[in-house]
Amino acid sequence: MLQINSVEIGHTKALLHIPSLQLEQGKLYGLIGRNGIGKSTFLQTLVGVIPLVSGEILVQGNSLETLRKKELAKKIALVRTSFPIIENLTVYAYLLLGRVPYTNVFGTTNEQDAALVRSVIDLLQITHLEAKFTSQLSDGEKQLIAIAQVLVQQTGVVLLDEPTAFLDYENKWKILKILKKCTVENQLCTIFSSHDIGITLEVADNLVLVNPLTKEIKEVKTDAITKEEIISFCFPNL
Amino acid sequence: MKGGIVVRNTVALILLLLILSIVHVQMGEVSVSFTDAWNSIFALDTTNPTQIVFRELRLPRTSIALLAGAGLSIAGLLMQTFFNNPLAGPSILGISAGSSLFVALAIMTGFTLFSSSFGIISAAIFGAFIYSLFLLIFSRFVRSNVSLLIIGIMLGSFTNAIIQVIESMSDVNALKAFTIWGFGSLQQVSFDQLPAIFLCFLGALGLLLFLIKPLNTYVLGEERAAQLGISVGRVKILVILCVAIFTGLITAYCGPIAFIGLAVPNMVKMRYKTSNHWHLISASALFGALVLLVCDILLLQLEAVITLPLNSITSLFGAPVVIWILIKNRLHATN
Repeated sequence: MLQINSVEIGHTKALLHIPSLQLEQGKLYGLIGRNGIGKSTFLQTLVGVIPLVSGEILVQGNSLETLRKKELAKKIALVRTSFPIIENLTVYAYLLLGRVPYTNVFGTTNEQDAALVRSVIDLLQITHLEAKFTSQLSDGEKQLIAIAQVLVQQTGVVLLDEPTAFLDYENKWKILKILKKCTVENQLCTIFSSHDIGITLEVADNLVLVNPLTKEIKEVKTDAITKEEIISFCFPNL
Repeated sequence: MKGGIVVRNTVALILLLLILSIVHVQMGEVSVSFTDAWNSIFALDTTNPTQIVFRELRLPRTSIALLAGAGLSIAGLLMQTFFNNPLAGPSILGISAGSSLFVALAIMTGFTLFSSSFGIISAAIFGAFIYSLFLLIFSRFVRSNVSLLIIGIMLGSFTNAIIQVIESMSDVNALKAFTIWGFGSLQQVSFDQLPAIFLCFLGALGLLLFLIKPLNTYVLGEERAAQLGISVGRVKILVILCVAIFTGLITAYCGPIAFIGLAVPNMVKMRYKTSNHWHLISASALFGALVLLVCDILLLQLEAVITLPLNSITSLFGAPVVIWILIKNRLHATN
């Protein structure tokens, strides 16, 4: 669970103020807002990459700022939009790196780690990718294995920054359906940002909306709001 | 399957290294028997010229060839992973120049702090450390790999210019000593210095053990590594320290040796096709030692005809490799 209490986020200067927000396990949240409003900054703040300007964030009951990095890495993870260029790394080795927060100082992995990677590979049905190098994958496959790595990391909270940005219609659906499935089966608290209002409305349980003029943030159940209402709230200049 | 290849390659490299070390140590006018070699280390007979030659010339030269090749290659690999740049290396990014600058100060100016022979090592390591710090700071401000490379090259040129200024003001003997040092050479180490060199080298290897997991994670990018709980700040200091010890130590004793640190890790990556640093580091160390040993064997072979500085041989080998990497990366980027 993610508990946000009157938080200001931004790079040194406050970009966005989030009064109070409580995000629960087993739910898929869609984050919608204009470009540059601070969605990525928000997600990076949640994962501890960018420090909080002010306020308090509780990740599964623990304050973000007092948690040690290694402990935080077991509770929350972020999938960035772009996939890094990595030479000579197989998909299997890439997935195993999701165990880094749990391994010893030399990074030795054991059979349980291998078994976990296996189960995630089976869950996402990516056995055919396992032996490939990450540099050989398509955009859709890269997004898929990035999600797989986060599942291997076994965090209760999973954040995704525009996971469908570079994907075609079919892959968008595939990725979001997988997210939905994992969220329910593993009881995750999953938050993804997206500019694709239509698909987000159909897949997400709840929406977190950002108004660019008032900087107001609203959390609503997906079935309690229409596409038109979302557009008029998030893109009032239209 | 993959593990099998790695093991086989490692065994082959070690065997080859052993054979070439014996070839290297036997090069010269007198051939040394095993008994003489053993005794020269543990029960030296000062009236036996063969033992003296082995102890004071042959053994130090072979040892430093192995250590320098291994150390520079490891330093290059560390920098390549850390800066996420296949063209990084101690000589090309100016770290060796930083070492040289402080050695130049030590040899040619009257700094009493740098007067003893240990003073030269500490000066070289200190120079390498300072210049690694410079690079680290610059790397914060430039995003592209090419910019960092250009900054490194400029840093090197700038430093070499300062060294020339110091040279022009120093006396003839000091200048001569420094010039010879600058050619790069494996014959300036004496038997008595070997234990200290080995110890420093082992110390850096010990630090390296704690870098393997972070480096393996760093291939995902610094931000993701931090997200996975790697303490980025500590890694930075450890990497700089390791690079400084390897580069500084070797530069102090052998002069700035070009290209080994850049070329060897890239060749290893192409052969092994892995980003597991257990394999990359051990293979780079072994292959680097092999390459420098071969370079020096060539040098010794050619000595009858022509006396070449070590740097000319390593550059002849290394420069084409760099051009090859550039072309390969360009193809990679346009694909």
